[in-house]
Amino acid sequence: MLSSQLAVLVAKDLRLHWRALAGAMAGTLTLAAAAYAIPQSPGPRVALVFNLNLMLALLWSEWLITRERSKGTFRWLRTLPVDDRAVVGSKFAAAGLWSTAFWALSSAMFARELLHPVGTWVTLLAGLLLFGGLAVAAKWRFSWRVGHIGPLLALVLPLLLVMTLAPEGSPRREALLALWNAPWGRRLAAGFLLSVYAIIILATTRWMRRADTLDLVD
Amino acid sequence: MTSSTLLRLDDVRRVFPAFELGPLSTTLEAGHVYGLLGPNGAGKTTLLNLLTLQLKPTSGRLLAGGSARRWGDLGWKQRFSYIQERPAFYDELTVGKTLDLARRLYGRWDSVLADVLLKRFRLSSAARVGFLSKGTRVKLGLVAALAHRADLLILDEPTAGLDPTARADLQDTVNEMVAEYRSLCVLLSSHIFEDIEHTATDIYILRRGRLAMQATAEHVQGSVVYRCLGPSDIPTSPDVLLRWSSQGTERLAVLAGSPVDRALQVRTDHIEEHVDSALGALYHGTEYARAE
Repeated sequence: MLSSQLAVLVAKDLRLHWRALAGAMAGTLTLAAAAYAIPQSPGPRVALVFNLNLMLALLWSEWLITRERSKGTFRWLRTLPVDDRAVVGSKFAAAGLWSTAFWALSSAMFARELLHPVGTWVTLLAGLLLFGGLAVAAKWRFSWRVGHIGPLLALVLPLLLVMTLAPEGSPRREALLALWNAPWGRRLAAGFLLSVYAIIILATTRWMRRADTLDLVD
Repeated sequence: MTSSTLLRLDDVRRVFPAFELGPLSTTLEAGHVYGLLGPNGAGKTTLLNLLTLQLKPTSGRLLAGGSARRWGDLGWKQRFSYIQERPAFYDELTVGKTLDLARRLYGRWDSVLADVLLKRFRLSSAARVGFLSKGTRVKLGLVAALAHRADLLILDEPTAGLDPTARADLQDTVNEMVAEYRSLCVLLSSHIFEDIEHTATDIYILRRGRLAMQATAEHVQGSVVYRCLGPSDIPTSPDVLLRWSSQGTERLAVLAGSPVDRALQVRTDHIEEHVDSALGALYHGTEYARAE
């Protein structure tokens, strides 16, 4: 019952957005191809591909949540005999599927070096899922402004913290790099990111099951 | 609670920082059409949201099928259909795809009936929902409601903002549905008297979050309004539908032909007033009414 409702809702989101989804993916891949044509070292190219993926993760959350909030369609969904867990699960599943698909496609085309070792690719995917999940949850739960700024802050603040507390060449940075390069380092990082992602899904589900429908629409 | 009781509200109350609805206690019976009247802000939509589990009651219980309905109760959601003032379907989907989505999410669905209703309402499956007028969106909601065999159909101001022709068309549609599906219970919220007069079998008037009056449409339409020249000594009785006092004058609405009415006709201190609409008079009276 729950899984069939989840599948119906994911299919609904795909049906609603497939044209825009295809257009955004094609446009972003074209941009990445143009950047790929410029001779440059792998570092900036890989960073560009990852940043484009982050940008699209924000876009997915905009389509999946902000649109439904502003048009009030959550209100209709809530009157149907649909389990709240299926509604929440479908949004995270759709965002996760689209992020995974685009990450696989864009990295295979323009950042193949990320696949060796594969742990780096998996960890970055976990980071993308977490960022996308955070964007979905924040736009659902908070006001328009917090929903938009919150995920960006959550992305930037840890980076700033690392840059401040462990500047390049410092022993802390060396220790962090050693941790990352350890045989279990990437697995640990991916596991941590996925655990936080799971916590966000659970917290959103818990919130949704208690929320009045008025809290789900603008 | 009789076998035809679909829903019972047991001291249902919802408190907001600046508004309180209830406590309300009443029953909704199968085969009845309840007209819910009230000014803006009276709590009509809040009440409908409580019945359809869109809002959590602060206290009280909803009882259906002999058991209390809990928050998020999918079994209860299977039994009603809630058509909001502007039904928020997905604009990008066609009528057919919208019904297909509803079919997949409801446990029971009559596809044959859905097709019949689409033809009857002259709705094209291929039409994009985003291009439908408000009245047509309501009709799409009715198709979904009837195709999933809802026991309770809840309409929140379905005719607000419609032109007179579209309004009459929608009133006729609701009447036809009620005539055809006799076990269907309809709760229609509106602040347009005509909507209620044309469709309701029972009338609820809500004011400031409280049920100010509850009567059958037959009683309301068959009531007579008396203006009292002094303080009225008529005791409380089921024949007195409402008693109110405005600008220093007391008025009574009583059932026409009842013993109270016959008694008042021969008294000189109570004068029968001519009113264009008994419902209108009672509605305005509830603004000044004191509890009977």
